[in-house]
Amino acid sequence: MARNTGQPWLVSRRYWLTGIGMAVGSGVLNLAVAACGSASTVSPTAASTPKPTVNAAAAAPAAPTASSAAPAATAPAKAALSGTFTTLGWGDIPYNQAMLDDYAKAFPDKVGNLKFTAEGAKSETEVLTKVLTAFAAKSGVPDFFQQNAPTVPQLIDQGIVAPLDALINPNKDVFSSGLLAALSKDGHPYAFPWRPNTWMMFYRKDLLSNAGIDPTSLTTWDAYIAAGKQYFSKTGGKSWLTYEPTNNGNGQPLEIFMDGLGISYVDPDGKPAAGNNPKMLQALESYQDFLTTKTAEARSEWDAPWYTAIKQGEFATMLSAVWLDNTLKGQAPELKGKWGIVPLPGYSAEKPTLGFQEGSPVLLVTTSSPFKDLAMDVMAYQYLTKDRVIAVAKQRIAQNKGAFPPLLTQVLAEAPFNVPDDYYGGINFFKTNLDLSKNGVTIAFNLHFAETLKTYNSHLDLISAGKETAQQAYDTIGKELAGKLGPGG
Amino acid sequence: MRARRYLTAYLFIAPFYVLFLIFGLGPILFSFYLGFAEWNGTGPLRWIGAQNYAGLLSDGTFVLAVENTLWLWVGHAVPMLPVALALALLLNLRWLRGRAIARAAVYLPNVTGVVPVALAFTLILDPKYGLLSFALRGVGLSGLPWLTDPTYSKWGIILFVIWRATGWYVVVFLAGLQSVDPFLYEAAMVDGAGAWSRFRHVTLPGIAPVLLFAVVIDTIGSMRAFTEPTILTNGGPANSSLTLAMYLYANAFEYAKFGYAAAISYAIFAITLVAALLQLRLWQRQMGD
Repeated sequence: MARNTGQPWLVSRRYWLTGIGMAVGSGVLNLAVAACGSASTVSPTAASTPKPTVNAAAAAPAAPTASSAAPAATAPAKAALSGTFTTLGWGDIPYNQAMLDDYAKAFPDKVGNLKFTAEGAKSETEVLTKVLTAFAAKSGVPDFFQQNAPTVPQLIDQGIVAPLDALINPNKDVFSSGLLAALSKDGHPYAFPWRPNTWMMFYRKDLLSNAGIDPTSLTTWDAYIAAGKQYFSKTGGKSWLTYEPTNNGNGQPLEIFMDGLGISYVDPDGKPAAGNNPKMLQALESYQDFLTTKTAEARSEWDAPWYTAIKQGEFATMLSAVWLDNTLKGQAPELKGKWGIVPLPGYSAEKPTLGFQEGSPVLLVTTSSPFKDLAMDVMAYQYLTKDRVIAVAKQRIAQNKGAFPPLLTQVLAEAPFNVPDDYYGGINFFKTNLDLSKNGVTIAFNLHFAETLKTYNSHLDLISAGKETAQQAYDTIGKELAGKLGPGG
Repeated sequence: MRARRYLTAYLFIAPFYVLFLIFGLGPILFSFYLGFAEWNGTGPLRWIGAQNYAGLLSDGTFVLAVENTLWLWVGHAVPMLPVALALALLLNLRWLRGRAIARAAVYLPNVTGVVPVALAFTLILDPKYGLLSFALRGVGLSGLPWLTDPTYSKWGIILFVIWRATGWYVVVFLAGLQSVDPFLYEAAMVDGAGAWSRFRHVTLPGIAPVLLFAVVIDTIGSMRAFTEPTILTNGGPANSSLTLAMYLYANAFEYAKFGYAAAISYAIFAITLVAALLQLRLWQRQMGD
């Protein structure tokens, strides 16, 4: 009775309190996100890693090798280990589990009583969140995990990952020196790039032929853009290429231009390249030129419309990396023989853009792992042992999954790596990949790479939308980032 | 003696308080402290005073996130709440046939999973292959880049939020409408009040607390907007749909700047509190008229 009419003050007080309560409740939820990520959004799934139990005397490590049937880069202690050895990754988790199980079968004396578990996550972001949370909680940290190369400096800074000198130094010739440099700190490599993201240009042979364009003539960006205009006019406005405005999928043109010019988002002195390095202005202008031709189509990727567009021949070329191979073959098997691959154009005809999109997916060993040597040994077995690499490729092809491009040139002479690829008209895809990866470079990954990238990308979106010029972006990005990047970037 | 007398009762309620202390109050206090520190999530905390809060004021991305969040809130609340009220009035009509089915249909979007529906929306809103663009082309209009252009990205999200949340507010308003004393309507009709007068002078005052509740709840929800923009646009393009909660998440879990993220969380709390109090104040004034 009094609640509605008699005592308005009581009404107001009640509702003030209710409102404040609701607002406080909301705040609690928001705060929980920031302060209690482990409780609300993240649940580490990796099993707790116990200390190893060594029951026998340690044996001398085996000599590192990257060839023949000899296993292992650095053999772990020959002792009956026990506990759980955990990996964390995204994507094909059964592949990871098979890698561990096969290693255990091949080297029972090294493995002892260890239990091998391959944990999975939905994405690289989730892997990172799980690792961070587990590391902070000092529980459930995987022994090794997969990430994308750009997060490596942050993980080093956080003390989460251990150097991999014993694994990589004896096999340096396997990798591009530019790639290794991006994954190293103070001369120590911290990440194993098991499948470098080699840049390559995928093109539709039939569509280019119909438009009278010779793919081998696309050696410079000028030639490429001119061909795009020709294609656009001959096809009545069809897209010459597609790209994603924000860099979470296919080849991001700015990164390609940066690789071509040998620069990164942040200069070696830690200053943002935008605003400080004229080559960055050149890269941004290339990006703008690219878009003003109106022959490039910005669109989101990894969704049904994107796949449909590929199938229907909506794009004649795709500036991408080696991983696109599996996507094309999986999504559009009917286009067998219609795709071709050439190197990316460059700023001069003699110098194509050779490099790696965001480096590579990498494997990292955690500092808290009691099985670091074993972790490196597993990687060496899987990716640097000739017979194993060939066996895994055969298995994957038999399972219709497609072989991963190998790191070792020694395997190219053997099946299945010596087989011409009909999807690309009979070229040797794996050899093409390794040829293109020689002398490849990659942008440097600074400590605040994620934030740096987002800042650049937001301005690339504005250039794409015609709301900003390259010069404006160059000036603004530098100022925006200057306040965000600490010493050393 | 007294404590012993109530010991059993305290033991019964203890689990809630223990859990609240660990997972509620503890993180709140810790995050408040964190707001004055620099922490990468694993190393030592470094006290930096109010630098994080000072940084917010000069952080253009944060300011943009505030603008976007308010934009998304007003953009969906202004059309959605009146539409929800109109639907509730319609579904409250006793003579309406198939009311139960209609009510279920209106509420249905709210019980569907937000992620699959958002993914479906990305397909519907695709400028080339989307159903909406197809329909627009059918009437001679061109499809818009709903999610891929800085000008339209917020509208794509607003469309989705309205589609999904309206049903929930219809149910809330329906409950409010059914709590209005029917004798008041009869008395108003006896006094010669028409439909509009009955709505203006009986219905609206009768459901005023419910309206306030809906507005406040919607405000709180909007300040925490995360899932929809994350799935539909991931905050882009050009941060045009980046919300405060997304920026908080990015700072904490992508940039490893937990101290700054904690400061953002308190900023969200402050903005939400101010917005809720303003609404209460306005409502009080209305009630005073």
